[in-house]
Amino acid sequence: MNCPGANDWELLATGVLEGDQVDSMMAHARVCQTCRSAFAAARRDHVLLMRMYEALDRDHDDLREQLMAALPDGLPGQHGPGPALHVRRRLGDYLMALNTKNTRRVAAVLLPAACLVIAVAIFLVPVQKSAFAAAIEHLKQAKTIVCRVTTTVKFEMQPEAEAEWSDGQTSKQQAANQPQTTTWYQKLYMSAEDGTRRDTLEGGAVVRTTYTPVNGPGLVLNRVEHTHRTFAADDDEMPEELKDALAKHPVPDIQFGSLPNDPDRLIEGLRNLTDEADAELGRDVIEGREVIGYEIAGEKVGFGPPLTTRANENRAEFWVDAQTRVPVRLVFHFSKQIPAMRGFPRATSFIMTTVYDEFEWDTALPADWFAAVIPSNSVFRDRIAPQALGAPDEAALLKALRQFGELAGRYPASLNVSDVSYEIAVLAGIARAKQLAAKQAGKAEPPSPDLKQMVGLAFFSLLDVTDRKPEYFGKEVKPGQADQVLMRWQLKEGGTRVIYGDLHTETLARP
Amino acid sequence: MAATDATLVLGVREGDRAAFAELYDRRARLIRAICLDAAGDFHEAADLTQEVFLRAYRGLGELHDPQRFSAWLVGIARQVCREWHRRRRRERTGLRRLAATSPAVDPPALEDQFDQSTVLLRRAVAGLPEKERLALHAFYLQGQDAEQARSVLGLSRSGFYRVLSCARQRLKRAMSREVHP
Repeated sequence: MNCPGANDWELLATGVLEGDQVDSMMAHARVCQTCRSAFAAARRDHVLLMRMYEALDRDHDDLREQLMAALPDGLPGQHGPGPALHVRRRLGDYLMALNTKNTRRVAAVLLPAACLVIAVAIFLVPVQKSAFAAAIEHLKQAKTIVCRVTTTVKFEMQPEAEAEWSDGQTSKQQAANQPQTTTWYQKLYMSAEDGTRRDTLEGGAVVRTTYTPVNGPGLVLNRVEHTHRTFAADDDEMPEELKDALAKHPVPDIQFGSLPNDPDRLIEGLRNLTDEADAELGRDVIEGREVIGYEIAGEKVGFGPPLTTRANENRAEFWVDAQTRVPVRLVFHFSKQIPAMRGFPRATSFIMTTVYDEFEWDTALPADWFAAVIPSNSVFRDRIAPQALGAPDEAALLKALRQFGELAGRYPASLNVSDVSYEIAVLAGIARAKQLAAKQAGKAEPPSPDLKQMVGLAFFSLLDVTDRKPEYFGKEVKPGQADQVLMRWQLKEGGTRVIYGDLHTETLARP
Repeated sequence: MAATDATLVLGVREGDRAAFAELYDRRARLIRAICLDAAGDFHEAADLTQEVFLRAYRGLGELHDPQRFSAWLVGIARQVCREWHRRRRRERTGLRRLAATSPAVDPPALEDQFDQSTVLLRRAVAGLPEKERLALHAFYLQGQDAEQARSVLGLSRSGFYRVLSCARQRLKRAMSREVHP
């Protein structure tokens, strides 16, 4: 007999070989010193391995007890398989049954009928909803979520517009000087217990961190400017009247591609969004996993007020692991028309795409990861506290309308809270850009909107919730038009209060 | 005759917790070995193992083929280990940032948990390609039953023997380098 190979001795030492092969190899080993040594060495290794693996057995019973105590109540997979899985199982059972002799004959007759039944079942079963339900279940159960957030904004320009900026450049020059697409990256950490932390990255470095604890004020730490500021994380300090007004006209939870701050709200928001998908996007591979995509229409996503949203282009994509149903990627496509503003460049709309990916679920996040450590060289910037705003009244509304008119060259098109919030945000952004341009040119900086005053615009909503039937005509009426009614509402004591285009007011005895 | 994994899985689905304890007894060692490869620390591996079994329990309703319980469980273990690695990377980054305020704590070294020869062998096993490592784990931690081990790994009998003997050969070379570097 030729000497067996080293592999054979390894297998023999391991004990997996059987029968004649064992006998013949052992007979050979008795007469061959080299092979006897090889077998002895293999046997020693085998014993060492057994010992090593025995060491892994420690605490087995204790660990089992701990596990059994930690098992959730109720049956495993209590919600049961989704309908699609149920159909697949039925199909599997059926095919297994075909392997028996008796059923094989019957199958020849029944198979076409069975195929038809199964096909109908598959088409009738709401597969999308089942996958969604499973994915949402993951979201519901998550106590911590970590993900990457990538936001890209693309501006669309209108060539014929030639608005002039405060620095004398035309919008054409501005457009040539500015990138039309901007991308930024964030890392989002959410914990149901400790709140949210959002790191904004530039060139791989964290430039800004936003801390939003579950209770108490939030904090933004700007690591480049060495500044920090606080903001109200909840609305406890907000005047009751304003709360009521906002409750009647809620700003959508998910807007501008951002998501609510803690997992529970995120989940709630997504549940509202994705009650059921509008379309299936097919299969793909993301992060090495096979995924199924679903599309949800913009209005279900809660994207933006109807006034300025290009609703037909807004949508969300929800990519789910094909096997585990774990959400793998969320994509929000959001576009908005930019309302005409005095001195605004020729961008007329933007498309924002926000991608949430690289998800990690239920990872242990230390509590101090959510607690801001403010560097000693950081300068505190003023905070806008809700209680400092006060309840909006007529005087506040007039101030706010005047300021808006002066800065934008027109009045807000609507005083609906979400519409006007967006317009104020755009106005503030334009003012900031103008200030930077003026600063670079060594010119006097133009004014920016006083956001504290702007809250006066919420007076409209306050009138609405108190059933004073306010009407607003900001789309048609321009600043200075003394003979045009800009807004009117009914007074408690009877009669109608009117604000005209030049912001003078009058009380009429009759409606 | 001992119940098969599939029978036990069906029992668990019916609410028989003892069946799940039996599945744990059969497979926990293998899963712990996989987790130990990833974590390099016995206590961490024990925690990860618990996580794997908890996930398996929750997801048992969705296991299509109960006969493939072991392979399915190994899949969960690999996923849990991948997540653990990502988490560790992030925690390290976080710890670096918080270094000024919180002293870093290293996990206990393997030397504190096993004797010297076992440590060397463990390191050598950890350095094997994943397929070979799993073959060793599956074989030695399941009563040295080649049939069971190959079914966990989804290999044919000859395929399993080939992987197992390759693993043993590679291990031998690695060990001789450790002893005679």
